[in-house]
Amino acid sequence: MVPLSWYLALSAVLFTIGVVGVVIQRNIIVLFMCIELMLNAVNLTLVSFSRYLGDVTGQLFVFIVMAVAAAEAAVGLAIIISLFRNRETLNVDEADLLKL
Amino acid sequence: MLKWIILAPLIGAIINGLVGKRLNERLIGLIACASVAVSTALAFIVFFTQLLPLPAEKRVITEHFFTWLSVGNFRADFAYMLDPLSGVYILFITGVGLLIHIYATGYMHGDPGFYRFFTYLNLFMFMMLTLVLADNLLVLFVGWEGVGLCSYLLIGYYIDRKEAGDAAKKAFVTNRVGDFGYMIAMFMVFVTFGSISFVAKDGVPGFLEQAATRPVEAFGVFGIMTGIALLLFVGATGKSAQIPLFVWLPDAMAGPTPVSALIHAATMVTAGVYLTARCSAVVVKSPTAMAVIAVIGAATAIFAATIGLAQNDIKKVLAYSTVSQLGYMFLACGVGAFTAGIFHVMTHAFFKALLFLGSGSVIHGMHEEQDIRKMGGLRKYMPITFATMMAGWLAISGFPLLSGFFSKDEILWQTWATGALPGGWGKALWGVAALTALLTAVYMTRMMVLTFFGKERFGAGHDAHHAAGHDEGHGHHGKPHESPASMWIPLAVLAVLSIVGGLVGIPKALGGSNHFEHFLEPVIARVQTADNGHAVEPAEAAPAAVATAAPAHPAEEVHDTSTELALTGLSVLLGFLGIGIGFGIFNRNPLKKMPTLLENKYYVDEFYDAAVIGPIEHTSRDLLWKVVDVRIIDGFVNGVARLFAGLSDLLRFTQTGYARNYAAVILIGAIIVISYFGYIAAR
Amino acid sequence: MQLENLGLYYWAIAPEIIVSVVGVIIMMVDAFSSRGARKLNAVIALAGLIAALVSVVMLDGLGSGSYFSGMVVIDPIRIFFSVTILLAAIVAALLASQFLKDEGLPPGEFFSLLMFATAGMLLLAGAGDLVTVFLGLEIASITSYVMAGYRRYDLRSNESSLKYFLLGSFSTAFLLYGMALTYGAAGSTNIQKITAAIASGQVNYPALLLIGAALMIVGFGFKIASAPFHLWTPDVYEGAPTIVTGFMGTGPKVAVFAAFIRVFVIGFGPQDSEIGIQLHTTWVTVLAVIAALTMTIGNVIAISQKNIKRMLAYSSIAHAGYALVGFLTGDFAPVAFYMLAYSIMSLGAFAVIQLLARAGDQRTEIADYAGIGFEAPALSFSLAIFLLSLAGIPPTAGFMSKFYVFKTAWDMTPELRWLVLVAVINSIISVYYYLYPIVVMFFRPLVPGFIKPRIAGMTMIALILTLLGTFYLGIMPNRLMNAMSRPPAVVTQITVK
Repeated sequence: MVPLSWYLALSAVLFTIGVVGVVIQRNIIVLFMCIELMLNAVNLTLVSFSRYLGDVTGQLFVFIVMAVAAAEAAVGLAIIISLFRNRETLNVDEADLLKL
Repeated sequence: MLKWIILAPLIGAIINGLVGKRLNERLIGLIACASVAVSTALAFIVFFTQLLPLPAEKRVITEHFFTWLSVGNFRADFAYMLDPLSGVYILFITGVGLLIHIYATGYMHGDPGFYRFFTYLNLFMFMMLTLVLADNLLVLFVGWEGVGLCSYLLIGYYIDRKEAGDAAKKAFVTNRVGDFGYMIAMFMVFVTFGSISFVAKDGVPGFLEQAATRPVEAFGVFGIMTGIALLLFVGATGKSAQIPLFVWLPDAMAGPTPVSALIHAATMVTAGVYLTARCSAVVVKSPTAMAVIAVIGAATAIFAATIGLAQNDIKKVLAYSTVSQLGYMFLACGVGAFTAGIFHVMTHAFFKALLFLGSGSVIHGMHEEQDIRKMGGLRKYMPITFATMMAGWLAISGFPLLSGFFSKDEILWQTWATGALPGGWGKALWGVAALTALLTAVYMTRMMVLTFFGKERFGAGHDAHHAAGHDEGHGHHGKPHESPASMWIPLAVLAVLSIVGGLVGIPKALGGSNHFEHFLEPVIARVQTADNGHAVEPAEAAPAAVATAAPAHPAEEVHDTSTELALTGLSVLLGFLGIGIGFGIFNRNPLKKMPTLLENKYYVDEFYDAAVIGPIEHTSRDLLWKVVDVRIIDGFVNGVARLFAGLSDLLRFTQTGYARNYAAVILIGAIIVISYFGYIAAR
Repeated sequence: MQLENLGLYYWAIAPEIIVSVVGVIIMMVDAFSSRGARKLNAVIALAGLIAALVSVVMLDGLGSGSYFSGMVVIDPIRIFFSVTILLAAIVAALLASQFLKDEGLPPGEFFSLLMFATAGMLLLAGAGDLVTVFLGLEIASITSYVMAGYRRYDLRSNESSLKYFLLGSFSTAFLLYGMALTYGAAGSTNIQKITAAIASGQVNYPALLLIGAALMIVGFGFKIASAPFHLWTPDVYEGAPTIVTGFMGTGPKVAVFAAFIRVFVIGFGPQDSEIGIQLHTTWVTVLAVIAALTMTIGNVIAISQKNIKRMLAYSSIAHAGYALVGFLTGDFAPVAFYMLAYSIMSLGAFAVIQLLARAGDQRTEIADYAGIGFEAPALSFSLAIFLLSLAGIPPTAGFMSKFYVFKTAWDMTPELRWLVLVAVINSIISVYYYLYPIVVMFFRPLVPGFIKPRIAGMTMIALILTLLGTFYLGIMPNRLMNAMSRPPAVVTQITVK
């Protein structure tokens, strides 16, 4: 039997990888995937808690998160495409018109 | 009824503001003047038919408009209160305000922003009346800010002139410093007394009544009352242009002349005096604060008077003169003679409004010339302006039996005889005030002489300038001309007031009965300390106690009268001496152009120039005005602003524009917050 | 089987349903009509929003309670915040018509996005469960991302949208993680049950609860633009179309504040257990520091701004700081009043800026405002009033709301008086930069190339509404304040699962 803390540790590690990825990656698509990784790390936490507590809410929450993540992906990719059309780049650091 | 006094000008402002652009000048002027006239009429009716018939101790009319806010135990009503103090104020504000409105219809004739001007002016009347009729500190503050806003708009009225914009900005920044003091004071009042209302409300006594029951804080002790009084005074120095916040007022003359007369001489700038007198119950509890007020007042009076001596712009002379006279008023408050201060506020409103309007008439007649060195001999061309201004000039110089004489003399005497300050202070301050009186007479005489007497110093150059096609409305000849009736009628009325306005307050020593003082007495707190710090009940006032207590003790009067008469005689003498000196120097030698009649007199002039006028002029221009005013004070105000701007410039570089940097900052913030929570959890 | 037995009282989410359905209707109308349906869309949107407003008022009459297994609650917090959200949406819809016409942008999507965003915000304001909080927040956010980039061919609009999207999703992940940990610690996602668990001390892992709260502060802190999670705000506000900026700066912030209050002030309030007290004191300390930081950073950086939209973005950061002061009083009323006042004056200011900016936001530098004071007096005076209100000058809404917040905080939380002093000093600093555009408008020579903007009927209505609101709240705030100071409703009814 794998204890709860292992699941929590794994999801914390995944979440951290996602966070670090957002900060160090330059490609918008990769950045976006890192954010998805963060969300999925949370999903893992929710599912393990759900199992641990014997409560179904956590799993329902996961479904809602997945649905929302799908919507977010659709909108996010649309925004990225629109930016790519105007700028022809996927480097997030080149979008620096607005500053100071 | 009270609310209509206040609302009438607001209605005028709204009408002119909304549709004024489409109306012609005559109608705009009519709306503006009529709205103020309504308010004036109501003010007089309420004052004489409702306030005066009440028994002296119960002269308070309150009117609840609506409850503005009530949060927790804090409550502020939009309520108005008319008592003798605000009564005096509304009478001269509406009266002088109406005259200046009428005058302005002539003065602003042909100006493209005519409707805008009158909108602001009406709005100003609304705010000023709100200020003086407020029944609590918060509503007073609304009026306080409102008059500041109107002043700011009107100083910067001539948009195309750079100095107007700068002056407006300076006025605004300087006043913020004062407002800060006011806000903290208001806050402290609420914390200390649990009320910011002047009168009892819902069973909670007003803070003034509560303050009256507090013990006097000994001289040199910094208690809560001293704190409140000094912070209120900081607010007052901003609005009423006292050291060190006076710098904005001379610059404020960049606004149109009627504005200078109404806002920057007669009404708004005396709001600080009003505040001090209104809160006299607090102020008298702190001899320390009173000493500060008296010293600042006296210092401002003499400081501004010396500067006034060396100015060549007719409006600048009057502006420094206003600062100086305001110093007198604060001196009076500081020595406990609040009624004398208010008396001077009133007479000053008459004669200074007159002088400003007169100067406007001169400027108008001279086709926008303000330099008195380029005037001279104008009495021939502008007889009415000259005659009326003469009344103002003699009044401010302290010519016997004119309005300024009574009020100034009252202040001088009260300063001499004060019981509010430690021994000797009163005498020393009297010396300063007397010297200021002398200087006042000198510089006013100089201004009058250079403007109206002697040879004409305008000529070909001016004509050429005029011929270049400058304005249509002023006639087509190059000579100075008398102003239209709409301008000289208000001058004449004000001249009469300047002459007789002092008769309401003839002191006992001169055979009068000082109605003015008796009238104000119930709302003004009495000084309760003698110089050695022990509390003295007003009922058994010491010989040195202020005259508010004096009428009850005829026995003491006998002793006082002789000194008072002697001092009065001395101040009359000083006034005449000042006028004499002014004439002696400037009539002969306004610009060193005129030949001297006698050689030895010429020698005296030279001596005077070298030994007295020269250094004073030099000091005042080069040291006081340029260094103190321009460098130090302006420098400080700008310095604070620059500090924040620099900090701002530094911090904005955190905004790099890179999304990843932002994410990193969020991450760092998150780590700090999580660490703190983790630390608490682990503890 | 009766629906009541499942706890499904659809009328409890009537406002959300109305707004969503109207959003769908607008899409349909747009699909089946010619391009000239802009006015029709606007009218449908307005009708829907007003109907939703009416239904919110009717909900108020039904008293407090919780529905859908505690997913949605009806209480004064929901009512007041929903009204504010709907008013902001109404003003935005009124302004949108002229904006879309001037810019030549497709109207159908805009109005339906506006509707869906509003539905999300309403849900957020009424959420009684972490799941609905998340759902509402994401509905509101995702639609806002699109609206920020609505000017598709404009680089600045693209960039604004991208930054908002990336950073918004990033922060949502933090929020969600916080929710997950809280769920694990308290054993439920229902806020009331979480509170009950904390009060009885039955928390599985107290440390997880604290970390969860910390992560949620990050997530909520981002959405209300508080320092140090505020960096996205200026860029996003500057780049988005002005009217969207106005709406984004008010609606979502109001809604997030409602949820933030429900989770922290009520859910994590001072409970009678060790963990409850520990949690409460910790988050109060952290948020007090954040509030002070937010106000100061917002106000100080605003001083050096040259672009008016950017300046107002920093000002909105500062205002979030002031609202947080009200938040810390433990009462929702100061925040609700503050956000209502802020929404009105801020939307008014953005409305004027939108009109003066012309198509494509060409003229948003403060220098572009030079001398227009008497060229376009109505607009300039309106803008001046909104700016003065934002600066907190009486007798405007801005003054009253600040006063209410500061006064309540001073009285109710004596240990946070230092924060009130910081807030007061900050509002004095802020006067400096709010006055700058006014000085420029009225005291500088007219800038060349100024064309007096045309004001359409609907825009005029929006301007008048916001002006009246600014003065109404400033002069006669008592009715509203009294209505709000009803005791915070105790939710009486929890339907059993």
